[in-house]
Amino acid sequence: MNLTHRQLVRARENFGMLRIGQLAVYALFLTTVSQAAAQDLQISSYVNSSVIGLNQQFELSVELSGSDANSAPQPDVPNLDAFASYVGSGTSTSMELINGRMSVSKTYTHHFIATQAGTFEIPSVSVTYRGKTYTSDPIKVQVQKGRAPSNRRSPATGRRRQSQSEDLSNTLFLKATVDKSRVYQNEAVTITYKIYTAVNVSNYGISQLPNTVGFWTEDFELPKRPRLYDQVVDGRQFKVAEIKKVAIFPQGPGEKTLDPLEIECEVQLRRQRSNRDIFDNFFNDPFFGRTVRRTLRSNPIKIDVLPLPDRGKPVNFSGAVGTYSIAATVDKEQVKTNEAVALKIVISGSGNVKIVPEPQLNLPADFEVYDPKITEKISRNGAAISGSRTFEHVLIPRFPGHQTIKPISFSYFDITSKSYKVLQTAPIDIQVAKGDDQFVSAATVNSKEDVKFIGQDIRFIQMRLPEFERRGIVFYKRAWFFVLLFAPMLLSGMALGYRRHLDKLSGNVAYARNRKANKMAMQRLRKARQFMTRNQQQEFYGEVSNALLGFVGDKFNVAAAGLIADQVDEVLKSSGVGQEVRSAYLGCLHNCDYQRFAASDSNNGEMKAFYEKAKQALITLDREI
Amino acid sequence: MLRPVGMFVFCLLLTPGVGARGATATPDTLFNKGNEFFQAGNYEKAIAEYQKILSAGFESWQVYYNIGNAYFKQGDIAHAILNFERAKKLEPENEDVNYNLEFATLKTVDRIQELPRFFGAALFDRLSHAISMRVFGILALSIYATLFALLILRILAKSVFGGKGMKAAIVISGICLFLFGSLFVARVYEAETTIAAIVLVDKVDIKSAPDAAGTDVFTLHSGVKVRIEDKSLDWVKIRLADGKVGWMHGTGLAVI
Repeated sequence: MNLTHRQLVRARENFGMLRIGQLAVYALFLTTVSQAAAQDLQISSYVNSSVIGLNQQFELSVELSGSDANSAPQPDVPNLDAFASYVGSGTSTSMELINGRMSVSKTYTHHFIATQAGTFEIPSVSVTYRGKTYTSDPIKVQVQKGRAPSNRRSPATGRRRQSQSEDLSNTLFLKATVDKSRVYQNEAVTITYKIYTAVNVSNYGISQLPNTVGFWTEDFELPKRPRLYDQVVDGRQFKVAEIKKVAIFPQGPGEKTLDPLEIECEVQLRRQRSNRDIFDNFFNDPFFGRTVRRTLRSNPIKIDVLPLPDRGKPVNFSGAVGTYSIAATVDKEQVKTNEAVALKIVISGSGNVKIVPEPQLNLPADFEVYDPKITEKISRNGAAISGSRTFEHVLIPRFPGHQTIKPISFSYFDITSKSYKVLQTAPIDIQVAKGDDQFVSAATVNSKEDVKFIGQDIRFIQMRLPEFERRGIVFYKRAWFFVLLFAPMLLSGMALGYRRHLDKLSGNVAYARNRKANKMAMQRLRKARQFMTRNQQQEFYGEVSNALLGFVGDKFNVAAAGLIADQVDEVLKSSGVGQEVRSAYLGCLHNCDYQRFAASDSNNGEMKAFYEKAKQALITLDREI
Repeated sequence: MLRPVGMFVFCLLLTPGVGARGATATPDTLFNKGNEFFQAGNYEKAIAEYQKILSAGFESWQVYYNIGNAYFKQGDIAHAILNFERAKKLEPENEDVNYNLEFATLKTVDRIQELPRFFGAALFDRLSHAISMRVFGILALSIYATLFALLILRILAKSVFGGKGMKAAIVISGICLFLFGSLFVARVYEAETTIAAIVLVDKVDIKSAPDAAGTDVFTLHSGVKVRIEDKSLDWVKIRLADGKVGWMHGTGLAVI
């Protein structure tokens, strides 16, 4: 019989199913195993069946394992003469590499035939190596008449049913262990789920996780290949694999029960020796073996959760349990106004880091503060769940000056000393210089205004006696307003009338004529122009003459009717009109008289030229006066 | 002939509040009494004294301001805001009034973001609220009167006032009249067409229609300033500074 364990521990994570290739290749029926004290050599013995049929052959295997297994001497064949006769022996050696360590096992297989019915004890086997004796445990066997029942099955039952009914409860089970069963609220409890197997488990997957209402849970990170080790339980050697390790943090006090974990696994059973059925023979081909599905449930876990003591509870305590430390840093201690400063607070330690609350900041009012960015780092590799929670605040100083971030405190319940502890950071000083830009983003205006009033009160009442006014009708609907609105218009109208009246009374014709002089002159010129177009020579010159004389008459309030050129010259001279202007003006007048009374016809072009000349003379005179 | 008329006009212009003072000394004593109560911390009695001035038919921004302070000290933020707003209406650019109003507004629940406005409109609004309406009116009227006084002078004594300087003075006062007149008219128009009010009830659900069974559009809390745009029986249509519109029962409001 080949007892080599080819533990090709090919584990691969696949949709949550861990696949273990050939876990624990041991014989179908193991018996006692003993482990020697020495690390480098172990001896164990076992039989292929603890119930043996009379006159049937059975195997007793003695296995030496450890790094010295090869060099150790061969143990003696135990004397079983009381109930069996010795047939022969064989040896097999296997080497395996587990986690980088070479392990050798050498197995001596002795074949016997049972000759007596009854219960017997196979004595312990011992070997002496380097002065030390290693001994295996004795094994109890039962020899029955007829065939051993466990190896048989009735031909009526099908393969499947047979496999379902196969009892593996003693060779394959799931066990949950806790590191402590009495804890404080929020204290970590580590639960380890282990598969114990003496059969070949090819595949397993968790089919049902325990209901964790009332607990925070945090899974430990386990190696992808579960580490296997040997353990003897009730005289049987098992391969043990840790398949799940979890830390739970009970949320409330009281007695808590955690439901069992359920896993489903595929077990490879060795082929059955049956010659009755062709199909059975085919399916029970030694190369395939038989695969059976099994559901394993762990034991439920009971935890007694104690409430946290009220004595000495800090005011700002918010439920953190474990061991922690706190640190606060800023990225720069010298900034300009409106420049961002990052304040980083790190709370780290072992415990449920995820429920560590945001520490209360005690910031100067001149800082604008934004909601923190919270990051968690959780380490699941060690003996306990630990990690850190980081709070990154962005602060923007709005005003220059020396600012101090007061110590930030954090309190927790310390598990080791079973008391509350308060941690405080050191105060942080920040020197704020005046920045060059005064820009404040629109989004921050509100909070800035809110900040402005922190620690202030409204302004005091007015103490000086005010000027009281009549309530009720607004002033612009009052009579005096309308009086003031219309009085100026009325007054100016009155003034205008009064002015006219005065003019009339004083009979100041000169003023009136003066005002009208230009107008009249222009009217006369226009009339003259009409005559010109009609080529009425006499009328034309007459009208121009009237315009020129009339203008002077009006301006200086002399009667135009009796005005002659000499008089005009005198009047103009007395009012300081220059020689040139005067002579031009008088020249025009003389020309008018000459042309009016001359018989000769002057042509139209001449008239036009004279018209322009006269007009120019008028304008020049008007400017001069 | 000219002088008495001018004197008369200017006297009227410069002493607008002349009628209020002197009729009785009661407002002064009431005001002082109110201040004494306030300083003694008896805010309720202080408010009562100040209110007596108002019910006697007199007012001043200081009275409203002090009433607002007394309400604030009592913790009645909505009434404080109402009275600060009334003081602001009479004295728009007073620092104390604006400070206390802003401070009280920060104690209210609702934060209402004013809608952004066109730059020109905002500037005009600022200008037209730079001084109280009364001062605006007096200024506009004075310029108006000055303009006409100049015109009358020109009419009556052209030989003396007919020069170019006079002409420039008339043009300048005409421009000033246009500026101040339009700002004043805008203020009067605003005062006549917009009614602002403060929510006094702790919490009120604003409906989509003037009906108690109407859908709730939003919720307001005490101290919020709203504009009344319409009325239907006991219901008023309100508009917030951020443009939200809805109906509420008029009993929860007090007009500024």
